[in-house]
Amino acid sequence: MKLRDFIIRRLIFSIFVIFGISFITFIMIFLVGDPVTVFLGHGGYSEEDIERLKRTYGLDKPLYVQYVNYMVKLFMGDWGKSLRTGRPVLNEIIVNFMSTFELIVFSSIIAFLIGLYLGVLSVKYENRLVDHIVRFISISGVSFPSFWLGLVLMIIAVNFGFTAITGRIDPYIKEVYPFETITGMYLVDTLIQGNFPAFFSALEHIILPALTLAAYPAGSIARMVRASMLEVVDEYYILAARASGLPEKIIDRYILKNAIGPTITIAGLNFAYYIIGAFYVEWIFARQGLGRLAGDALFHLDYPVIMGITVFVAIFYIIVNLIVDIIQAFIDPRILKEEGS
Amino acid sequence: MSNLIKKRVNKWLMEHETVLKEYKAAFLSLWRNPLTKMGLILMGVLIFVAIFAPYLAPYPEQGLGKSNMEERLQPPGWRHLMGTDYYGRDILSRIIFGTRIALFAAVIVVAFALAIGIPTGLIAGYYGGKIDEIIMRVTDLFLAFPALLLAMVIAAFLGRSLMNALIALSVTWWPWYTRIIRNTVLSIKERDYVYAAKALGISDWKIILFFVLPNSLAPIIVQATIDMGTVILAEAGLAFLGLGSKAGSPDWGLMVYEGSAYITTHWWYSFFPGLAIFIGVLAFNLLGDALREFLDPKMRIRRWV
Amino acid sequence: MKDVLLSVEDLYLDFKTYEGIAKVLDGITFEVRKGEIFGIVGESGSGKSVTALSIMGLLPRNAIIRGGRIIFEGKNLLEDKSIYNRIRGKEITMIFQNPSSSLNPVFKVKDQMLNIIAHHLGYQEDEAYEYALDLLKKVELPDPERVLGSYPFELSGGMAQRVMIAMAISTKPKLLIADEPTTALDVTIQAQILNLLKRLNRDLNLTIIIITHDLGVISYMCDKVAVFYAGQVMEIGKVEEILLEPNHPYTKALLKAIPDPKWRGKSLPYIAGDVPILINPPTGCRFNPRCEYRKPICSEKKPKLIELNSGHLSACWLNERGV
Repeated sequence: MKLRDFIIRRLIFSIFVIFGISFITFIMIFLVGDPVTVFLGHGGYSEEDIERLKRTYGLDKPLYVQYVNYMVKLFMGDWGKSLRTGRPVLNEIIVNFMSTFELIVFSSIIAFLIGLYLGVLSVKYENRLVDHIVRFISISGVSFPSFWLGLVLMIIAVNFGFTAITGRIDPYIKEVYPFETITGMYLVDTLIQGNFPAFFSALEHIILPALTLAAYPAGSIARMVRASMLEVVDEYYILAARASGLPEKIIDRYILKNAIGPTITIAGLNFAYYIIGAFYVEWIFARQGLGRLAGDALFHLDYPVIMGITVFVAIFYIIVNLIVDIIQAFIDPRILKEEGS
Repeated sequence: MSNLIKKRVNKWLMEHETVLKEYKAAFLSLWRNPLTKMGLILMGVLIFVAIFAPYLAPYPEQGLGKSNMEERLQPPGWRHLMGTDYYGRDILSRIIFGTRIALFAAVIVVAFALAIGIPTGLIAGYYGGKIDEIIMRVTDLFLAFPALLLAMVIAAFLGRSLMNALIALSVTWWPWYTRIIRNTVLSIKERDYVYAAKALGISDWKIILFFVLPNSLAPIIVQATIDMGTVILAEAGLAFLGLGSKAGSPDWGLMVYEGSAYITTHWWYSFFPGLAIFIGVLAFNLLGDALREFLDPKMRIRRWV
Repeated sequence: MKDVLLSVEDLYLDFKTYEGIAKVLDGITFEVRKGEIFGIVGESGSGKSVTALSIMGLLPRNAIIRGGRIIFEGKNLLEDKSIYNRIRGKEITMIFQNPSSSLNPVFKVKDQMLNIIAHHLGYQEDEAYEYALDLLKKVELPDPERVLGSYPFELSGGMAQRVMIAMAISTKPKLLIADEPTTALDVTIQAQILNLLKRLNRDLNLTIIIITHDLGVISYMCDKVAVFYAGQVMEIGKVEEILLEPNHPYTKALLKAIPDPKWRGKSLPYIAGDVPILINPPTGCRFNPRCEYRKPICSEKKPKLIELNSGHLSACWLNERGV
């Protein structure tokens, strides 16, 4: 099937997913009790106050009406206001998201490079000591609790005198060398504006969180690369290619292009991990981001924010998966053919 | 009496000689790999510790929550090999008891997920059609979203307790298995022996139970083992956020959280419980890998370089 | 001899496996002359494919060559592995049993062919493209442009095999090894491919080694044939002689096992027993456990290949006087 149809089918599916997820979250919130009461807890508010609040938030209407209202407003850009801070949910999310996005992108680049390198190393020295060591590192990578790894890296760093362990940037540097917010990503903004002191400070502050976050995907990618390369190397067409006398470099390319498909799938699946992992890492390293926002919202049961984050994450996740699928279709043309049948 | 038993056992051994030989060969080839060896050993240690926790913990009462205020926040030393926490409780003992929580979580969540996932997957795969569509749409929904986030939200609204956390995890976990089983069933359904069984008039559910299911189990077993490790990680993560075990419980994740406030001054408080989580997950991952190799078409002869 | 292109002499090969050492080739010896179509026939496990891989230098890491020589155009390939960089894929090329699996699924045919042409012949892209089109026409592919632009999964088995052949002759090789080239193809396509190979042998003076288990292919294609069993050569000779007047008991049994309509209603003759596992192969002549003419010496010493008459060799103690 054509690429265009593929994308359209995916988009329709995505809309369905967004509705589904938001509906489930919506239902859950109300299962426990209406959000206002839950949020207020036992604060000793009078019945009237509660009723009034309910009416302000439209909670006195039947459930399905509320849901429809919510979704309609959602599509028009009104995601409600945080119960805790009163600020518009969408704004809060976007501002915090860029910080998380920066962390995730930086992290995934590191993870991909490390993972690919380790995986190839593992195959080259298959079943020898290097292979076993690399496999151990990879499996360890996916076994570390991210919150623990972050703490450990912090301890080690501090012992070596490295102090950039909290926040996104040294506040002193931010004052002395200010920069404008263009994308919301410090690394990008400072670089564009040629503000090197701030850039390096931001870099310093992102390195530990990024490494922590990268541990799992790096391990996962390394294992996937190893597994799929071993499978490919056994295939007939590699033998045939060798028989035709092609040089090792080209054979390596032949192997890699076939092995990379499943690897990209794994990289895509890892994205779920990145989002959750980022939550923990941001918490540990006191970085601004979606994670902190979500943590606070969950703790205070701030339902508009929770709904907003859920929908947002769903959208983001879908977009990422779509991109991953498109890349895969380019690499392995058989996929489009299979989807069509 | 025992002579008779010996005879029966010997007879069984002789009858199954070839199969047993195969398994022995496969096991030996596994043992050869240092990583799988490590996995098997760690797994054994974990189970042992969980079962005999009260006898292994140096300070069992502290392990379960009794405080010991005179020895608060002690660094690792002879009396307390891993130091003590804010309430003076021996961390090593608490970790030993925490093993029970971790394994409990792992088994419960995965068992639940299998209990729901396998039947739904079997039905979806075998019967196809509308049922398949519906079931797959539902699973797609769950899979199109980071499950853990959903679990967090559920746990947050259910209230803080270990069981609620496990419920939240179970609810978000089963779709994976449905998907795996369904895909495996789809590929088995078309195999000749299934058609042969149908032609012989064997009823549908018998076919599912005796032909389809046993052959679909291999990927599930591997996934379930690895997932048990992942559940430990997830449950610890939820506890860390305050969405799991209640305060005082020797939950590893909770302990890491408690210690995080003292991370720069009392490193052992978070370090050892986190290390326990790591080892727990590592054990399951290594075991899962070992099982994957074990269940793969044995005798994978490398054809050429 | 001057016109011997390839000579395999006393090749001994072992595979290291978890169960032990498999003695896969036990003194393989044969000669291929220029311009010949030489056949190697035998059951699975007889060592036919492994011999081919040995000639190409494509053995896996757990293979150990214990002895022997492989002489190509006067040079022993086993002495100096670096020769393969010059020869493999250029002077000696090979096509395999499963043509659809022999092509890299994620690259277009064009890329795969041009890689080979560019590497061995040094053509630039445009030249190489034209040359590739030419080659595809030579292998009787209609619409070569479309084939070049396709991915392997879009081709049928027969088309894929033609592409493989095209790639194999692109470097104007001296020797082409075809390992079960038609086994995976439909019968009608089989005939076409075999005819194609015959034509190429004639027009390009291309020496071909065909490996197969199908005696029909042998009788149709080959000038000479070697009969393999369990890693040993049983008999070599001209095809007509082998098929009409086989000498070796194994060859006789093979030929007898070909179904013949005149046996309608009777049970088919077969060779009793199983192909041996090569970790502990039978001693001496490896066919002896299943041979109806077996003598004690057969399991004691391995018979040498003796020339019965010009070009017809057989390895059997029955041919030795005084046995």
